[in-house]
Order: sequence, then structure tokens, then C-alpha cells
Amino acid sequence: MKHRVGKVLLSRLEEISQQSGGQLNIQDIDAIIESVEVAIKEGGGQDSSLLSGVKDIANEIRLLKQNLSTDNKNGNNASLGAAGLELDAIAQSTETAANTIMDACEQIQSQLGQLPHSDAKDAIQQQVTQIFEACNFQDLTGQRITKVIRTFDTVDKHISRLLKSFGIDISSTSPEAHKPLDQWTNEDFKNGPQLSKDAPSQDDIDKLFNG
Amino acid sequence: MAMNTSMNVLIVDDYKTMLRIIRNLLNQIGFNNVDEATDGTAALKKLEEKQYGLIISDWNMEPMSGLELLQKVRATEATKAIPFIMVTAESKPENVVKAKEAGVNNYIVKPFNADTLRGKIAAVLGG
Repeated sequence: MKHRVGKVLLSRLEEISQQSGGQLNIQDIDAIIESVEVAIKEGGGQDSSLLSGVKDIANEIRLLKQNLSTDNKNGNNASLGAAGLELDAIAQSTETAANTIMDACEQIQSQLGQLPHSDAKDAIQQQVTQIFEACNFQDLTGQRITKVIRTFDTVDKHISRLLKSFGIDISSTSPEAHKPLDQWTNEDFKNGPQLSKDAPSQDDIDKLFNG
Repeated sequence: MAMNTSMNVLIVDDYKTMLRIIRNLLNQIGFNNVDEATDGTAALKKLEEKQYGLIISDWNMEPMSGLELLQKVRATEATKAIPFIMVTAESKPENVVKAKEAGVNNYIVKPFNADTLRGKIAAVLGG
């Protein structure tokens, strides 16, 4: 059964790959997932190693949701919206940084405007212009983040749809139920910065620390 | 021939940082009458209220993209002749071709520098 599933899927994937000139992109995910469904159904069962692999992917996504969710360690209600929030936070902080930089540049330009013309003034103005140009980064960062969020969302939706079609609910199979603190591993402690709205202040930390 | 920098310029982008950058660069060139819009729909409203001599627009915006804005600008008698420069991260040949077909006057890819913006504006306005 396993070998038959593999041959059917391989053949379908080769077909898709040829149609897209050897380069698969995000729009092909639909076709790929459909191929997996067909291959598994034609293969005759749900216990193929292929389906097992898809479950593994789904669990990884679920773990990622948990890791990115600041207020729900179970991740049962976490969604890729949480991942989106984290990425939005990156875009926000780069925007803040860019604006701070440009505030300072505009101050410099304003001061320069009051000085008599000189080579030094021209040179400084040129450098300030370069700083403004460099602030293009914020726009591009934001656009790339949006792309990542959309890609991630698409993958998650397709995986969930695939598993649902086989009656598999990964929330009930997830191994990562909320653990008591004495069972946390080193990895559990690595959560990265919290979102601004959730992040405790130094005062909060001091209060916790000092009891 | 010097550019007429006293004209009204409309800049359109959903990223406020980018609006700020373009405004600053335009000020340096001498364009001080600069209005902003954060998407095509808002830009069309501005175009109904004032006469502009130049539009500089991003492509990827919601609810109305820069391409849709361009198409509407070119389809409207009052605005069809306004020079329109697309400033966008979209760099595929298909994008450039599509924008050209829609009537864009010039196309700048992000990230860009002041000289590029100045040069493209000069090319479009004949400066």
C-alpha cells in the first residue's frame, strides 16, 4: 500500500512540476495537496507513512502556534493570527525606528537651512539624503512580512483541510498540553520577546522578582 | 529647461514611512506643494478636490491598488493627462509591461535613491 501511494503521488507531483517549468510556487500548493489526497485515497488507507508525514507537519505548525502565542501555552485556540501579530510587531518597531531616524534627519536639515552655503553644508545634506534613502527598508520589511504571513496562512489552511478530510483533528493529538513548570525543558523557556501589549514592564518584573 | 516645481504633487502609498521619504526628497528637489493619500480610493478623492501636476504612486495598496488608480486616472477626462510615476517593490517584467499598457509615464523600483527619483521626474516633466 505504501509503495502504491508513493508511485501515484510521485507521478502527480512530476506532472505538476513539469507544468510549472520545474518551479513550484505557492499557487501550486492546492494542486499538491489535492495530489496527496488522491494518492492516499487511491492507496487505500489512512495509515500510510505519507499521511503520518502530513500529521507531523501539522503538529509542527501547531507547536509553532504555541510558541508564538503569549497567552495560551496549549495553543488550542491559538491561530496563525498570533504569528501575524508577532510579525506585525516587527513591522511596527521598524516603522518606529524609521520615524525616529527621519525625525532626527529633518532636525538636521532644519539646522542646515539656517547656515550659509558651504561645501560642508552640501556634504552633510547629501549624507542626510542617503539616510532618508536607506529608510526604504521599512517599506520593504513590511511587504516581506505580509508575504510571509500569507504564505504561512495558506500552508496551514491546506494542511488543516487535508487532515480534516480524513477526519483527523490534530488538536486532540497534540502532545504539547500545558506542562507544569518543573517539567519545562530548555526549549520551553525560549519564547523570545513578547508583543508590546503583553510585555511586562521592568516594574512588573521587579515586583515579581522582589515578591 | 527647469521643472515647474510649484505644481501640486500627489503621492500615494500605504506606508507612511515611504510617504515621508518621498515628501522629503520632493522638498529637496523644490516641490513643496505635496499632498498624500494612503491608497487609490483616497487618492481619487484628492484628485476630485484639486488639480495636480504629478502623481507618484505605490502599486500594492488596499482597497485600491496603484494600477487600478492609474487605470481610473487615465479613464477620466479631467485627470487622464496627469503624469503618473509608479514607485513600487514590484519588479517583474510583467508588472512593468502592465503598468506601461495602463499608461504609466515612468516606473521606479524600491529601494530607490534621490537621484533616480529626480531623474525620472525630470524625464516625465521635461526638466
